[in-house]
Amino acid sequence: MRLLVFNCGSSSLTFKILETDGKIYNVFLYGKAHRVGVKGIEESFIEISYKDKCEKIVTSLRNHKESAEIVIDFLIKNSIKPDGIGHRFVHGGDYFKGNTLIDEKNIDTLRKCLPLAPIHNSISLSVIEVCRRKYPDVREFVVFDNFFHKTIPEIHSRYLLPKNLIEKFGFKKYGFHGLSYYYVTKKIYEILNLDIEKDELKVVACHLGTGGSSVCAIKNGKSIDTSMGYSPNSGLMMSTRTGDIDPMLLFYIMYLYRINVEELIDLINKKSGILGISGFSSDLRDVINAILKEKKENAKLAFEMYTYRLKKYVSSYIFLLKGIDVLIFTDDIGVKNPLVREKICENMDWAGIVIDKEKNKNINEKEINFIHKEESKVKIAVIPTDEEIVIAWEGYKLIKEIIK
Amino acid sequence: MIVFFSNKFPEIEIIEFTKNHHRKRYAEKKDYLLKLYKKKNVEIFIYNFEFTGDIIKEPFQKVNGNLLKKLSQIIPFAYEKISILYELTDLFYRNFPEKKHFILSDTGFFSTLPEYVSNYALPYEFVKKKIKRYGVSGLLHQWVYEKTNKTSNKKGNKVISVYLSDFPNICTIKNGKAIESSVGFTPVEGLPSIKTVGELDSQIIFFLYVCGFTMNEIHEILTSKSGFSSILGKNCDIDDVVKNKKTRDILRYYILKHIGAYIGILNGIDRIIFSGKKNNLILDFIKYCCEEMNFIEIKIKDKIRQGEDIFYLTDKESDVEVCFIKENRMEMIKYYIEEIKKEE
Repeated sequence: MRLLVFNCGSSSLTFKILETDGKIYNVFLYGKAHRVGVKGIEESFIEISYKDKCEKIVTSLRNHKESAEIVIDFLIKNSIKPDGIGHRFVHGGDYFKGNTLIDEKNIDTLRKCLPLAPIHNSISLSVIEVCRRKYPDVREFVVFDNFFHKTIPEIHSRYLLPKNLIEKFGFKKYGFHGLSYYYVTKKIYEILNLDIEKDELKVVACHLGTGGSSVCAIKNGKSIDTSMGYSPNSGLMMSTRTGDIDPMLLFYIMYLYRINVEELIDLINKKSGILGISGFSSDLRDVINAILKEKKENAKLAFEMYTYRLKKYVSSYIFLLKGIDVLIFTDDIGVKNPLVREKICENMDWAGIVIDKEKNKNINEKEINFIHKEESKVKIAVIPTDEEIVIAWEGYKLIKEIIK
Repeated sequence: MIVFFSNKFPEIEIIEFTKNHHRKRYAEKKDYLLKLYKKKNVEIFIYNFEFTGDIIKEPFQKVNGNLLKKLSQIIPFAYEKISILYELTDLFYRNFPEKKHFILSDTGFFSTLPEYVSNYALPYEFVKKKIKRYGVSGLLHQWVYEKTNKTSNKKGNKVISVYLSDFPNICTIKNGKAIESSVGFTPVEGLPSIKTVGELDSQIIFFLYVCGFTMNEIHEILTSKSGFSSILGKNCDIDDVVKNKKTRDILRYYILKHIGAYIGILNGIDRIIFSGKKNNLILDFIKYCCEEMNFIEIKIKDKIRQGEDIFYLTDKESDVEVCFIKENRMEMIKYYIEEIKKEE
């Protein structure tokens, strides 16, 4: 079976074609659209790796729809047709009981989910629609990013809002980046030779993406808390999102500066975070470069705010877990930025975390690396995530069911 | 006589301190107060402001024309908290220029928060407009910190102060200076209170708006209809919160989450101070919190000898000290009066 998988990040689009018999998953083609919709210094581009060649298309990528069209046109040009197309869908709320094939009926339900995660759900839906148009006879499926967090206890996930509103609208902490957390958890159990069903392990995992970032407390393979909430808006400071904010501040900003609700939504979703503080880029890599080379005003402040908030979340989850065995860094920023890892791990001996700065600087970004010192009580792992394979695992089960 | 004013919107609370006793009263009319104190021999007027933005950088500051001018500019930031008191301060300062006037600030203690702590990740223009985290209950946190420094034999460089009240909040103190607060621009951020929501995903506000709620209705929901009373289904206080299993667990979760985050930024902890009403419910709750902290070498005594207003829950061998201080507002105000006198 050949499965095409799309994974929309807020400023990237990862895609893979995996060939599988249900046991082994071979990557047939893969690539990524970078800096989708990013206002930054560098240009946006798409990389496609296929048949031992890597093609780089440097072009303006205004949105994910445009990026997906370029990818599918490439596939059609090369006569590549998948048996199924899978999509990461960030927020299914309580509308869905599990991952599902897309049909005429539930595509409307997916549309109902748009307000739950306005940035992510709408871009995923736009890619789903491109695929439906380009490959009308290929079955598509969605895999939800919030399902890993269904194990979070009510005490941790409840907002203290009136009961009737919670019951009517399903307000609670859903959490996201679940596919990534599922993958890195599975990997760490494998590499430590542990059984996920039996062995105890306290893990804090940091999924640090170029767009969105979050932290998760994982006890014995199960999520018990995470920094994102009802939407991917809360928690850490992100590329253009505020992360945690005083809820009353929104009312004050509207009142003091005479801006309307629509402008406010735009402000806290698209103009804040790293972009808002740095004033020149939403990409932490640009910010780090600016600190090291150009010494741009506010670059240091944006970096300090980002790492400070991350450290607070990591520490609070260590406390909730009553200790920690493994600290994991994953996704683009988590894997490719030694400075972020160093900043989080420094002065953390209270928790038994001691980083090896040399190992940290010299990792192989394509493999699992351990970057702690020998005397560290806690293992620090850098694990490149693979959300696409998790989508393919789920997709294989769904597609196989209809072939039966 | 020393006269202390504080805001109990729409009234003003007045406490008159004479040599051996104090008297509390309430008034709404400023003109009446003006007439009243013209007849009395007042040494110092003290005005307790809950919010002074980033204008006052200490717990107290002597009033002058320039300070009043600056304070007038931040009234829109916290109208209900400071408008009445500001008018009173201005009126008294003009009418009693020969007297001493001091402002006691509940946010001054937090002026030492580093910029990367106090900022929200909003466009920087808002930071320039002073939209940032100001903290709350600074007078209480500083008072309990000073009090424990006098009674403890151990160093107290890294301290977390947990105020267990109907409006619970937590503050972090490093080498005597506040470096964190659970409270933000308003006291709603951070821990939930009896009626306010605490931590909330901001997208929920927009979701409710899209569903037809007005912004005024949402404001009321978050500030008056949420919090622990929304679970208990009745008006309640901190005692009710710690009595009920569910609300007790939720409050403990928030407290532990904050303590953990603050220990992380301090890279360790010397002392955790709990303050609030002294009763068995509160003390049992503190022990209930400490049970979850064993892994950082907190050793709670088997038998705790409860002192009058301050006592330690941990053994001498415990790496981390945990103590309780009974909230005593009068004593706290007297402490600051003495500090003001010293400055004079």
